[in-house]
Amino acid sequence: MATLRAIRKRISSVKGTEQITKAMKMVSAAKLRRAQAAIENARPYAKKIHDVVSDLAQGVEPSIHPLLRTREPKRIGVLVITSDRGLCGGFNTNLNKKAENFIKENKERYEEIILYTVGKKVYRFLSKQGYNVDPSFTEILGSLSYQDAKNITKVVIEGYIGNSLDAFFMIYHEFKSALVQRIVVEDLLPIRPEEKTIAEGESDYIFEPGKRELLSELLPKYIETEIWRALLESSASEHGARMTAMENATKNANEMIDNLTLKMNRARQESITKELLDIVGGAEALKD
Amino acid sequence: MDGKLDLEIVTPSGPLISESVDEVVVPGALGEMGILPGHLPIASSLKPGEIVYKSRKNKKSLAVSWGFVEVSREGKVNLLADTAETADAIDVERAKRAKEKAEKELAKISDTSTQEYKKNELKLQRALVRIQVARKSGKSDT
Repeated sequence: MATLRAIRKRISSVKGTEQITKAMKMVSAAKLRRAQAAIENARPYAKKIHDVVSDLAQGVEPSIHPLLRTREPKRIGVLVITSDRGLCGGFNTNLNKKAENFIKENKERYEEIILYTVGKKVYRFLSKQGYNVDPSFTEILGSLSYQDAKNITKVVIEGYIGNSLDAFFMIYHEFKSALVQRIVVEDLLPIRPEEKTIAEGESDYIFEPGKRELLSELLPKYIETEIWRALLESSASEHGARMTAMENATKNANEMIDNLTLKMNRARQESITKELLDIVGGAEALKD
Repeated sequence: MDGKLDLEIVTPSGPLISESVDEVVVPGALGEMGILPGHLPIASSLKPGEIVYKSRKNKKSLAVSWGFVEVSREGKVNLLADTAETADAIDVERAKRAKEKAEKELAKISDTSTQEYKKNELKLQRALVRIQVARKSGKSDT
């Protein structure tokens, strides 16, 4: 049986932890609100630009723009998005696992897999596993801005056009709700127009200024938007995951405090009973 | 064709407008372009300028910077804009300051083919459009 003093100490330490997790939960909730608004506002635009691109790309010869050309994929790029910080449940672990599985499954298929990571967690994990990771975008999460998406896009597009990348994937958490985040593997390049049959007599698009000019403005924008959306999805998911994890931790801490309090009371009562018995015993002894 | 256009304007910071209108005028890359119901499918990029959309009762305008418009086969008008502001949302003072600043920068650069020049030229255009849209809507011009 632990001594009364030890239990009291334990309780106060758990209380300290509880306060921290509670505060973190609150901070995450505030951040989540902002991140959620950001992603919810960004989604319609991303959806629209996706629709427009797949509408337009249908009737177009792939040779008209380098981003529409497909070739036998040999070198692929993968953008893996996690967070910088831990304490968000299985958020990073799950994604790390998924990323590693993806690499293992596709190692045979492609000559080379080039990894780009966002977030320190996955960077550390993958480089520890001995994979070659390009760290250029690892530390952008501290002050995430649209410019970051632009920078990533630039590397991706230059790689694709310069034949050093033949396909590009993203692995990230899609935000469903504060409780649910789903890991998605999305192929971004090459752009595959949705197969939609064009009915007879329907006219083709008029392009202004010209197909080539238009697509060369629109396609990079599309990729930029998709990458930006993925970054926002992941960031909202991170805060959601952390909030949930911290809420659970707070709950557990509370449970622990309850248990310990019970134990403490029992120990206290026991010691009082013992003392009483001693006194009574002493008094009895004196009587004789 | 029911004689209406479904206009949807979205920007990266959220959907802005989704309504049924009679006519849309957009600043296309090759010049101002009016879209009426029954328009052929068209895709065009936009330059900084003014979007005007009319429905029976009223006429509204927006200032856009870079954007893109698509009239789909189904006759929907999808408009993607980097930024789009209604006249009320425009900060005229800020636009004026931006205009002056861009003008000053432009005066300094002699070589008109540099990136720097083009950047400032775009800035100036955007500022001018904002001022124009705000003025049209009758916002006091102080």
